[in-house]
Amino acid sequence: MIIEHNPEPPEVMHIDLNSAFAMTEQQANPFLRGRPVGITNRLSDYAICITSSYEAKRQGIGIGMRAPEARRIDSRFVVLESDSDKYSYVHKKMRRIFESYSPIAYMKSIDEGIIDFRGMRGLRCGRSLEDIGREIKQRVKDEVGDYMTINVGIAQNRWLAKVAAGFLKPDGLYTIDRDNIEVVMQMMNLTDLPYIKRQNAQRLHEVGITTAAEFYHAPYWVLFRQVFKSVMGHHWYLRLRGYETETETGIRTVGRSYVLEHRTADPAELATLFHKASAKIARRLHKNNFAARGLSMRLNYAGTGNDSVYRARYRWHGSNMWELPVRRGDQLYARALALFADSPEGEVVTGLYLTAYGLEPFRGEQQALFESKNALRERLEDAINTVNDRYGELVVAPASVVMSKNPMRDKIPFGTVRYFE
Amino acid sequence: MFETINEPVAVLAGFSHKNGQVRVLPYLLDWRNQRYKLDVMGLHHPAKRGKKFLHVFEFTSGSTKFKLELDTETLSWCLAEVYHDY
Repeated sequence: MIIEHNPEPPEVMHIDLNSAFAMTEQQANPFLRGRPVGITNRLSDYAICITSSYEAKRQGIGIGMRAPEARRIDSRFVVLESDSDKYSYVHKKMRRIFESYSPIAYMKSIDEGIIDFRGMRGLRCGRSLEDIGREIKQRVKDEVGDYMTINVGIAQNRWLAKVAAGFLKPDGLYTIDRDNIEVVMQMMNLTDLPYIKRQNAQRLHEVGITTAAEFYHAPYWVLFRQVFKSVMGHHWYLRLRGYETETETGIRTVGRSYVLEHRTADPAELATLFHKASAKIARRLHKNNFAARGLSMRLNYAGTGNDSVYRARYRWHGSNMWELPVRRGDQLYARALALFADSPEGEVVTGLYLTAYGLEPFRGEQQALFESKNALRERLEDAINTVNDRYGELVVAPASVVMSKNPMRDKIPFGTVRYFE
Repeated sequence: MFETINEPVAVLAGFSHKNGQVRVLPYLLDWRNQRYKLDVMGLHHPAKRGKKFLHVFEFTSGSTKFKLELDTETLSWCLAEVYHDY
């Protein structure tokens, strides 16, 4: 099968903030502008940078590096704890700007969004998308902060628009269409392309595709039968040629992840963390009127030695799909404990991830002639949620959670922002 | 260098109306017997603590950056944090 590049004009705009969190901190604190800055989820020797400023990136200080290591590279390096209020504000301001241009405008994550102009030429009043892109850049400076810069990419589909946004970083504006796609692909490395990281690159290498240009020219059957061996190959073939393959899926999972400030192998202490994570997931489920059938748990353990590959692999994962959906904190907690029972004993846990999946709309309990215990618990949970909505997260919480030595503060939600309010 | 403060402070602020919205901007801050005048406003953003709604102002004065919080319920000001640029 041979499909030519999409002949439609490029009308999808992808916008992302440059080094979003670091730049927001530099906006807030003018003394940090022009200096290498890193953001971590909590200030401790173990904590790693989750993002860094361009000044830091230029020196090789990036995601995953610990602050002492970064300071050895540049003594001026400043590490800050993430401030979700600040990033939430910037996110909402950007979303409001985007939504003023098209009814199909949304944030893909906390720092990147899409404005879809397909079928909306009338709204543009004859203006080019490049012109609108420049206006958005200026509006972000005027309405969010004068230090804030964004990348704007324009193309025929969302993936190519993301490629275009990353093409002239930082503060770039670029359009990819059928006339320049070949040049763009020749100038990019394979792993510069969004979603082509270690595993996908390895798959492509195995069939002799080592550059972005080779990927673009790869025949349909190579991608479909040899590289991805699934419908993914079909999607990649279309995506590279400017056809839309991404669809909106809504909320699929609700989870909490946490790096322990006090590493521990104590099952009782870990149980309090599961309880806390379950309570927070339950609130998210409740807010969005979902119940979950599945629960997955990942535990990272303290490996010995300095080998980062070894450390990364030293983890345990368990998951299960139950027949009945649940949404209360105590129910999720019981399921988390059931998963935890299968994990190796005596390991020092450094991080935990609890994710509810298999979501479905909460239908409530069937009305019973006599009130059931479950119905009473539902009402109790509703009452607790009402109190916590008014006075703050976990103001009313299980006693074991309140007594826990490990705080579990709200941090930046990477990935979906559909329940980020 | 960052320093957590969390002290109530006296602030002279200006209020203005624009497009039906009230804007507030601190001008002078009295803290530990010193008066600081706002030089550069870095970021002003809202924050919530439960139902409590705060306005957070981050601005510089000389070689110090201040993080100031206005509680919209009590209209009291709190100096949350300072950063000294050495």
